[in-house]
Amino acid sequence: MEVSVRGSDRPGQGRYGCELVLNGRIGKVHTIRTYLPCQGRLPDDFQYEPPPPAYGYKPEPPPPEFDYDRWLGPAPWTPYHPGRCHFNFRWVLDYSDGELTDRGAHVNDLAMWGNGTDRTGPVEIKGRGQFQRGIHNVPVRYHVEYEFANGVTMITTSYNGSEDDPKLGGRGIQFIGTDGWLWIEIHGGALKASNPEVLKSPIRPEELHLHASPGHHEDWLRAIRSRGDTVAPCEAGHRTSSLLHLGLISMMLGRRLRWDPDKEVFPNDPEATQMVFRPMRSPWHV
Amino acid sequence: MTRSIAMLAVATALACSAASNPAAGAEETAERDVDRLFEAAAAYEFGGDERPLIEVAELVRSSREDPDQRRDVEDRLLKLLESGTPACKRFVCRQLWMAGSARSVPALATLLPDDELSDAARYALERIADPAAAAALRDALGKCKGKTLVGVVNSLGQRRDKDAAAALVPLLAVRDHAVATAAAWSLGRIGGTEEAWALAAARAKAEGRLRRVLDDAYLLCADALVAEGKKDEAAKIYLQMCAADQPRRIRFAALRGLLASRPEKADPAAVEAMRQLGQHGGEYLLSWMLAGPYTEEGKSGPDLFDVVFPPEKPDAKDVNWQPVSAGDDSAVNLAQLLGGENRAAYLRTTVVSPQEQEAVLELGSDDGIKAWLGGTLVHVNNASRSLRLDEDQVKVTLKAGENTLLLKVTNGSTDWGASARLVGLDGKPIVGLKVVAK
Repeated sequence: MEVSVRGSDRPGQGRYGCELVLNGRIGKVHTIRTYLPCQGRLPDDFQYEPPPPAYGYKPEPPPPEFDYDRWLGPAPWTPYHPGRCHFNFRWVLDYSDGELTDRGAHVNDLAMWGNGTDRTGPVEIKGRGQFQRGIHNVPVRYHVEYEFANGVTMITTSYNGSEDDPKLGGRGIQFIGTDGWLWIEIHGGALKASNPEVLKSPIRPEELHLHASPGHHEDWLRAIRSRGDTVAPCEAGHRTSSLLHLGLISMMLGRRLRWDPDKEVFPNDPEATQMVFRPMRSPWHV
Repeated sequence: MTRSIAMLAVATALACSAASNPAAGAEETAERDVDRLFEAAAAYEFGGDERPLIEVAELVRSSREDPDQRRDVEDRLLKLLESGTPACKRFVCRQLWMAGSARSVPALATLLPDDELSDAARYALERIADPAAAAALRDALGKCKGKTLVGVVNSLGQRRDKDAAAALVPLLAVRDHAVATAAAWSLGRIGGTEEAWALAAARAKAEGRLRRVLDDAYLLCADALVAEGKKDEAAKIYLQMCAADQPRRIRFAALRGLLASRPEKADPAAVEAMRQLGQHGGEYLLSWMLAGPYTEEGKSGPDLFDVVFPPEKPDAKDVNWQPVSAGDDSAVNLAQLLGGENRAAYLRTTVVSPQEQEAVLELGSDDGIKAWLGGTLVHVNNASRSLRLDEDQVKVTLKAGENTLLLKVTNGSTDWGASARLVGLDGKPIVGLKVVAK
């Protein structure tokens, strides 16, 4: 199985950037900053009914060709409205964490790979967020700091025009080490570095090499034939998703959380533990 | 209402910019405001004014640090569960997912048999750690039916509630397939010795879709036994599920469980199970005998393609055949096993077919390859190429019984290897084929 989007646009660049980082080209990494957008969007013709500040929406019958019950699956039942479905599901907390998981699945996944933590998780999470209200209720502005056992702090932030805007080119990851920084742009894969010479540095045969994918389809087919791993196996996808969900829980509770990434529990924290899973509508189960 | 919730309500209303008269500042005014807020929330219908719900949600969030405030908010939410509209109650259950405690259990439990609201009630109840929540779910088993019963059964499984197992076992035999399926999954997830017995007994009588569900649940149960430290018990289940009469996907899953549960021993049963699995038709031929390398001075790999070495001669003696296996990529890596340039090697195995049948021999090689089946040359390709699985396709006829397959693989330089498998004319696996490396 292949989960995630490692290098789906330019298979070599993201991997090469992570290899440069993992092989010490910027020294010992202490901070990773990931930049995600902060937009939520409604259909162009959407009208709140009643209008803001009431934030209501009038339920509609689902289109006859759309099996809405099946589409909902295990998620809680709510009356249909196109503003909740189709493309727009990603702004609704029942189905998504917003851009945190939408783009975070791309960006933070690469960050985890470059941090060497794609089979584990953070040990501490501190998040704050401003949530939309109404039909869309995901965090629209957010700032989450993750501490890892390897000493790295990963800061995930919504940047659009804010003071967090990296001005390095938009959405991407900045790895900051003792000897400089390296930037990987998402969607395009452009690399930048405080020392541009680093970007000409070949990865030597004896150094760490990451899985080279020839593109997701071929990579997946090869994995089926060989029974080996894809570039983004399930565990890595799980670790990226759970990283982001931990950020959401921290935001919703408005406090710091401690996490055991081996047992995948919040030790001695029943309040956070209660939020680790969302019970499923009948007849669904894990 | 306590002073604290009133002041909290004022602060929250200010934050929401929806307070009716924050400037009044009086506790009594705030108290009336909160009463009105919850009354408005109780009347909520989908499509209506969401502000009361937004403000109540803010109160829930901001009350979390003060236990007194949180208790007050929870009590008000529970009143909404009694008096509110169904739409309001759905909202309340989502709040109780975050804010619910043992105090919420009785009110949530009354909703479990309700066709419309049972799922919403479980959204909160399933996550409340207090044993009262589990007891309420168990109690609901006798009050629910159909979809609501399935939901309650699933929640008990999700909680891994051991105390529910005795009540779940009889549900394995009910006519409602959805309920029986849910009971199977829940028992598998709960795990344990008695649960395993119950699943085994149910499996013995079931067929079709339910049997497959029970197979999965039985393996899940074995995984749970391993987590409990009952590895030998789990291993018995895994071994049973590795047997040749099980579906292949079950055998793979069981073998994986077996190897994970007893890695400290080179378990003969596991090795035998692996060998059997490697011998299914449609699989790549993984077990071979290898002879080589063979060279001739001055001759390159392509030159050696037609040079007859001893393994090609029917009555050759003194050929040193060694057992080898294909690697994870389904190919025999001759570069690793033998190495060297400008040489040839031979791979031999025996395919046992239950009947005479046509098949397709699919080959990959680096570099050149010749193939004989039952002593007859069936394929030649003096290629110089990298190995790609299934690159050459050769139509062959297998006879009933043993068919010796002999491959000659030449190497020019660097990489060297070969892969082979047999599939039906339709490309699908051939049932009943066995492979023995000899």
